[in-house]
Amino acid sequence: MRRVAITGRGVVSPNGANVDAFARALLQGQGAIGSLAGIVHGADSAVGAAVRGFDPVQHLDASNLPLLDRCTQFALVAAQQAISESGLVFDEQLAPRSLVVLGTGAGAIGTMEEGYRAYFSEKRRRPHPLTVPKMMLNAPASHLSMKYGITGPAFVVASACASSAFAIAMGFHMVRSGAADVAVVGGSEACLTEGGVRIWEAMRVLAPDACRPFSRDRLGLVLGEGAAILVLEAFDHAKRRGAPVYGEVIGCSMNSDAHHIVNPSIPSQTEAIRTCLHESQLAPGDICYVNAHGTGTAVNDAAETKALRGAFGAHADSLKVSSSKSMHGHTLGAAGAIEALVTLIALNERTAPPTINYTSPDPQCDLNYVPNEAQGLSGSIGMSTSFAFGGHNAVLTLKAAYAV
Amino acid sequence: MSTHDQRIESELFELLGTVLPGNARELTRDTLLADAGIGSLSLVETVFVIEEKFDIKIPYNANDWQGASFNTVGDVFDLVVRLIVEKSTDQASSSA
Repeated sequence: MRRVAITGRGVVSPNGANVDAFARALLQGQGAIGSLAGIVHGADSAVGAAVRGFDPVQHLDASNLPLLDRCTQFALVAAQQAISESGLVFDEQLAPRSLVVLGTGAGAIGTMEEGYRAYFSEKRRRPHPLTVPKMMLNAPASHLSMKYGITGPAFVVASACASSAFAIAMGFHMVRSGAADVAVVGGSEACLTEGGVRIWEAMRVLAPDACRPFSRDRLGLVLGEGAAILVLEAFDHAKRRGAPVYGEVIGCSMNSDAHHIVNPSIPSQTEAIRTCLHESQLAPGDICYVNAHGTGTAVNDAAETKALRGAFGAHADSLKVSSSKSMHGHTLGAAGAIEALVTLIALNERTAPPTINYTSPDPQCDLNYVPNEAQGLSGSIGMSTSFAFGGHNAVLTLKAAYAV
Repeated sequence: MSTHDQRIESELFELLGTVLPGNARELTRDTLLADAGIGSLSLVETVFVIEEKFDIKIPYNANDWQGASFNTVGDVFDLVVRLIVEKSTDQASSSA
């Protein structure tokens, strides 16, 4: 089995348009959740974490834009940063040994909405002819493979809010097993549309003001948008070409609750964390930081706390556990990738980003959630958890660059 | 209970029957929602159908343990009746 290095990172997030800006915002506890008035027509009363000031023309070929939904645009811009940082060129030899696996929850929901509005409400005669290639869920992976000439498998996985954690896990396994040398992995979401916000509102799970994970007065999740991409590369391959290494994916686990379409299963989450530790050949005491799924819903945060306690035992009290969703919102299918990046940043900067908006302890959530202020980290290995609607769980372990 | 309230209550029982077809006949005011098989998702759906039917807005957030409390079928009825009365009072005062 090969070791899997991270040789490129890219992000488009509500609180940072690149990795450096994102890292600064995270460590300083700068959130990006605010009113969507004037940003999302028809959802003025909601709050969200929008990627403000994103101008695709600055990053992408204008002639391609009619084919690119905002979800694909985010993925391409984050990939541009990551692949450029990796220094990789997908030549004849490398292209077929490389793959693209991305995750998304709602994909091109904006394009679908525009199409439906035009056809059903505005009674236009026909939908736009490019609707299909623009809206298909696989579009971000396809465009990425075309842009860089990556000819190995390229596909999108859908497991709701764990989608991009599954994507990272798939890429990790392909590289580790030797089936590929490079995996461009991550996820993208552009769900802040009128319909996108209103369907979540209808479920009664959106907080009206702020996202307060693990805090007693939490009132639900806040939607966010963005993308994160990581370049996973076989360690020997990266070393041979003298590539910069920003960290390592040590291991991962994926499982299913087989239980309920929205309610979590604590035993299943506990098992996912335990399996990840086992697969990574780590003991609970090796982990210093957990970037939690931490959505800010009453049910998730209490369940996740119990799962962490169950899997980590006495060491749970020594863990630093934070939910960066308090800052960048819940980016759904992009969350796993964005939060894997947060975990990597935390480890490399030896600092756990805070859970902001934390006001008071909940007896059901009794861990160190790094409330409001960042805290130093003494270890080099961290974990990122993703627990999705549908009962899809994925857990990743990562190691800091300095310890690889 | 006024005739008006009784009418609302019977309409509500009927509505609950559409959400919970199997149990509707056994429901009383004292039935616990949990016993009636109303879990988190069916409560959201129940609130939705009631809002649609009576054109009211029920202040319900699935995460708010201290917010609107719905333990029994009667709790739901009382709140709905109150909201309908408030709504008609608002409409009367705004048209006055």
